[in-house]
Amino acid sequence: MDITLDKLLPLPFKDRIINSGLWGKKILFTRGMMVHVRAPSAQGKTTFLSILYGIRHDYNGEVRFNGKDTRSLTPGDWAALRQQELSIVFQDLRLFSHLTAYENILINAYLTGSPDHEKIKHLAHNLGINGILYKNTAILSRGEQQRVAIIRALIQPFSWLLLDEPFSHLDEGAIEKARESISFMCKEKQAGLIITSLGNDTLFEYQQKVMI
Amino acid sequence: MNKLLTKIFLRKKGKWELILGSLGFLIGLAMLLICLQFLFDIDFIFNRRLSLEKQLDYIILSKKVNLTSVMNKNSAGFSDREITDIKAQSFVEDSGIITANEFTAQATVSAFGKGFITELFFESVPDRFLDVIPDTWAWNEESDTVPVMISRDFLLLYNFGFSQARDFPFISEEMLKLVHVELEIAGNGKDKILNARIAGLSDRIASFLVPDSFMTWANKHFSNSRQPRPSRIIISVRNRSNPDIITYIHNHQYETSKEKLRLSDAGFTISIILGIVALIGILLVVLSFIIFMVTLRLIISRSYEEITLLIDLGYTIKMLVKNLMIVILPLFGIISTAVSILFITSITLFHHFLLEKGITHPGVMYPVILFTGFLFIAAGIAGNYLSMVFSIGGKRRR
Repeated sequence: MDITLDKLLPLPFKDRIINSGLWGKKILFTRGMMVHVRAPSAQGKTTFLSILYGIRHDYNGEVRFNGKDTRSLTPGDWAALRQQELSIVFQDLRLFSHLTAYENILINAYLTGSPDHEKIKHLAHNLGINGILYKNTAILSRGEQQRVAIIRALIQPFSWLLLDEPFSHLDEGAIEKARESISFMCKEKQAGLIITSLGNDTLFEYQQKVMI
Repeated sequence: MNKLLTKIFLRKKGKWELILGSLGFLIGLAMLLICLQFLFDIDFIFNRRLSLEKQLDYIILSKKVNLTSVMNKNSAGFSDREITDIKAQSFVEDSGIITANEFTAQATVSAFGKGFITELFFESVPDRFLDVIPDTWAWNEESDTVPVMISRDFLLLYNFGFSQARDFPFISEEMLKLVHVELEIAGNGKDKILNARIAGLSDRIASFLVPDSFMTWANKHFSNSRQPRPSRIIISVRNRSNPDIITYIHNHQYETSKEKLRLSDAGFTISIILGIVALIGILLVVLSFIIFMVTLRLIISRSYEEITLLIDLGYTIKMLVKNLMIVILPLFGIISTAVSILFITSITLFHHFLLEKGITHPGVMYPVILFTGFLFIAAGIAGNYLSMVFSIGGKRRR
């Protein structure tokens, strides 16, 4: 799925005089592309991902998936996209706090059929959280929760993985392990990736870098 | 579909509200259905069974004896206007005048070696009001014997009262028909001796009855008074539990054989009570419907965050509602089974009780009423489904 941004400008940013590499521009993300979106706080990184993910619709301009304006998508269409094409790690993670880490991952796995328990355990092992899989997420550290959210996003089908500052609470070792898993899964699914962060990074081999 | 979703939704309780709602629904529906069946049964016993057997109820009306009627006998009789009014009532199928003798009558009975003489009175009604018409029930001027029908109660009174006190033998119905009665009638300066025989026993009219033809003839020849007003009227009614009858009789200060009306009163009262219970049943059903829907909406409201997140993760409203329905359907399954068992058990017991009392029941309403019950349950499921679709739909963000 190709993503086209055509003069996209969220309404909250409308009256700001900005010189942005993203807002108001025409940009094409083709399938399999690694995209880095960089900006300081409050410049609209989360807003941007929310628009792509169909959670926010308060913007001018157009977002097109394979040439089709996303404004014409029904809630059912969005549900289908989130099941098959788009996967996300929210900045605020959004886990069910009263479910265990494993159950949180299963919620997404169940969306598209029967879960691959082997893969979940393998990913948990790679990311170093296999010890806490059966604990309620409410009692996990922020870093552990972040890794649960990453596995939840990786376990479902997608052609685009949206990552909103996914490594903010991870140490370098953990970041490296997460990066390996994400790269592997994206390659396996021939999927693209859009990651936001505050500063520059060289974690992935980015084909496109956008500075908001 | 997904135990996790159930865990998410039912985490914040609501289980007990749903069980309470189910219980109310169950009790209300069972009450409603059982009362409906009872109402049909009562209606059948008091009304339709009679019409099926082509039976009408007979009520004998007379005026209350008061001081005026003591002074003026004629005022105790029904005027033509009153008779016309009675005939015009919608509940009256047929009416007839009970004619009394206007002559003196004296019977001499000699049987079983004993004999006694008594003064008598007679009444006659049109034949269509008789419960039995004996073979010998005919009279004309050439007949040598007058057939008489007496109330079965009189025979009982004789057997268990009079005969014992006087050391007379018991008399069976067959023996009674063999008793020879010498009947002397007199009046208007003439007298005549006739033969009379008991032709049969009546359960309906408590009197000494003779054929209308004999009464007309005898009153014509042996009466010295002008045509008096009839003092008793017999009416037939289709539905004796019709409250209009009691109201009419009460308003006109008539008197009647009370037993049957009391029974009809009872039928009416039972119907009202059952009606009220059925209404309470409906109320309970409606209330539990509301409890159900409110609880589901509450669960949905309390799970606002969860629903939003699930939809953001790619779940559809349909998937969520379907999952909630899977929680609800077993409840409705239990309700259906319990209502069916309660209904069939109580109705079977009731019909068994009726059979013991010699009343056969119609039984045909069973499937219809059970079907009604299932319709209610289906409506409950559909109502809850739609309620959830709308409330989850309403919760969808932006």
